[in-house]
Amino acid sequence: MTVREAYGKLCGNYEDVSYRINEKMLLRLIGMLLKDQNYRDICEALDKSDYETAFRGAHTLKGVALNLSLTSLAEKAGRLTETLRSRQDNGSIKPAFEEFEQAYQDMQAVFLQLLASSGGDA
Amino acid sequence: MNRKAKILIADDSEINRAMLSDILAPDYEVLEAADGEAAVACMEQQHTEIALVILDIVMPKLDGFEVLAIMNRKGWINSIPVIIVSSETSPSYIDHAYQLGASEYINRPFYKVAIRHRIENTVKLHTKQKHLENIVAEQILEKEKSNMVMVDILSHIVEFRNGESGLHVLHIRTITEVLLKQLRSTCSQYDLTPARTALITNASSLHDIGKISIPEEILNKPGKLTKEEFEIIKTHSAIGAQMLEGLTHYQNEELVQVAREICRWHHERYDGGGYPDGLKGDEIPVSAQVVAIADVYDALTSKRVYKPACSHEQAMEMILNGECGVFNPLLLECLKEVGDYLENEVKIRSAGKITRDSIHTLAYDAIHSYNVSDRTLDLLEQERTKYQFYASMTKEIQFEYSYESDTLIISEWGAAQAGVKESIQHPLSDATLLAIFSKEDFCDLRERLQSATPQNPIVSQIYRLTVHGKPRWYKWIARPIWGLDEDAPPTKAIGKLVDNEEEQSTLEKLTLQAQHDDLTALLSRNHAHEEIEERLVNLKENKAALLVLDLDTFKSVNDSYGHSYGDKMLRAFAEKLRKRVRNTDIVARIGGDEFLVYMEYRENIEKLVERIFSTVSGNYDGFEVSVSIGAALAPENGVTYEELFLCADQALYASKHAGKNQWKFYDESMKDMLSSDLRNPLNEKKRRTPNET
Repeated sequence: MTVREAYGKLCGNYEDVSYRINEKMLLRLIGMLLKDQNYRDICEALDKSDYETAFRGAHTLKGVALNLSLTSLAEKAGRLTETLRSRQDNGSIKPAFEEFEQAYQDMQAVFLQLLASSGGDA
Repeated sequence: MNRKAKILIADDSEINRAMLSDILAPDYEVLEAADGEAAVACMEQQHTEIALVILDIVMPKLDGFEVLAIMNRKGWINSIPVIIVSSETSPSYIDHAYQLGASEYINRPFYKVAIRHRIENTVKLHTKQKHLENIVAEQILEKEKSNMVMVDILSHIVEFRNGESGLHVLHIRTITEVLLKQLRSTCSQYDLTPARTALITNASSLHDIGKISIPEEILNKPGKLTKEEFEIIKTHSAIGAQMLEGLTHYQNEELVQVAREICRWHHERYDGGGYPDGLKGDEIPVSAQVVAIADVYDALTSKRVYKPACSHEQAMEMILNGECGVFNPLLLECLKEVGDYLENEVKIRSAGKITRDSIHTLAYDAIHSYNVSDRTLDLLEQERTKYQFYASMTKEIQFEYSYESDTLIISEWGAAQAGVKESIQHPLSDATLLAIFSKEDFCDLRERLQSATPQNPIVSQIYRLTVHGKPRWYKWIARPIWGLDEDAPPTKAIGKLVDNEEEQSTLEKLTLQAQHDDLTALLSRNHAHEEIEERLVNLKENKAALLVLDLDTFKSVNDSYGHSYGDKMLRAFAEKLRKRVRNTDIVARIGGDEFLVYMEYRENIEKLVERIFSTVSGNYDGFEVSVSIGAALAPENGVTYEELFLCADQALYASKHAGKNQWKFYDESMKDMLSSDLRNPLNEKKRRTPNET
């Protein structure tokens, strides 16, 4: 799988990211993203109703996704961020999280495959 | 400074930091912080070197806005530009960031070329601005310096003409400064900032410039002045003020304004009894009130053509009694407070102080206008390098603690030595640190530092640290550091830890030496006394025996073979004795050829004594040695060392008396032998009381 194909599967903006970041660096960043803690932090925080930490995690992942031009993931992280901005429990958190979770897991699956085919985790 | 400029990236996501750092690394040295607190700690240490901060808003511990607020509070925002990089697009965020002094706001995702340019431009713009500020600052410094020089020259001319010692102006400056500082610390009524204090001090030099117009014959007349002459002298204050008013161009200069007040009114008195205007109370500016007291004090304590000098005490008494006119009671209080200090200060500062004074003022102005020039930074950098160099060589753990940020910074070598980080936030709750330096000692040190004063700032104390799991003694020497305003609480504490283990163990070695006899390495008499006493107290069901041994023929050994042979024999004897007894027994040498053994037993003490007796008697290097022993038993003969020793000594005497080379237990029949014998002038051996050496 090429990076372009991976971005295609994830509805990311390959044109944009390849213009901004060279491929070697991008693979390194993807490797870092796969090890990133924020997703786990969000899950744990939501379990404990710690909306402050959940907000921060979602916000950070939104920024990361934007930096990597993962448009779809960024959108979902952004939506989750907004439902958490009040730092209070509300009905829209759950659906937003589920959507985000799906997108995040997709991203993990595709990128793992990408790194495997590009020969290592860069 | 030719090295790369430093840029601090504060962002909680490692990925974001990696991206930025990848863009910046070729041109800058990149520092990274994963949260707001780490960012502040980094700036705390290196803010003079950081050229730019790239700041994320949403971060743990302290968020970006809080970091900006701290940078404002510390004044760093004036010297370090900040670029916010955030995925937040809400206008309220952006507004807030700009309000707090951010230079740029960049949204994610950012473009490499664009962000690089914006960073570069921001750094350049800032450097340019700083450069211009430097030029202005240097010019201000230059101007201040010439001001000071001119004031000095002018006041010197006046003094020269007055035939005064040349120290009068210097004294007035010193006294004025000391009084103003004291006044500032006791009341807030007069709005005396450090800058204002420096200005008044400087202007005080000009108080007598009006005297330039007074005829020399009157100024330097040795005898008493006539009424007319005195009236002429009195005009000098108004004339001095007029001279300054006549300056066309500098009427708005604060220095000129203050100098004018001082010239005109430094002979006014608080009750209206002075001249030229008869002003009362606080109608007289505080500057003139202070200089008035300084003038009187120095006039009294200096020698003049028409009068001898008074002592400090006399002068104080005369001023406080109102013999020199009425002064502001607040100022008299201040004078009383600083009295002793003043006397010394005036003496100390008499030479070469103007330069020191001016450096102080210049430095103050420079720092407080935030126009620290590159030259100054360069000097600071050199100082830092010097400091690090010395720190690395001294093998001392050096530290610096900032009260405001509650951060402890430890020298590189020191941190490595102790196995801690170089920068520790909130040290009192840092587990790694507390494992090394106990909280108790920590609090003790903090209290000592709190009670240190500018007059007595050094704190020195020995504490035991646990370094790499091993206890080790360290001597701490530390002091608080105050800013220019000494009345404010200290801003920092600095100090060092010196390994004190060796000193401590030398001390222990010396103690050990004192407890033992040099020749035989047995215990010394005094120390044995203490130990035995302690053992007797804890005797419980055991019984104990105290033996005093004496070599029968030792004197003849010394006489016929010399002292070194005698010493050798004593050592051999001691060695035999020590080997014969058990580890729990106490053996001591209590005099030339007298030894003492203390042993605890349950039964059959005769056997034990007999064994000792037969072991130590015998042939030493071809010389037959016999020994006499006296033994006393506890509790039968006594329960204290004194009682037992006296009995054993009497038993020894009995053994000698009965023909030597034998041992005896004490019994009642020996009771009076010694005392009766003491009266006998032919007594072969002088007896002693137990405590006499």
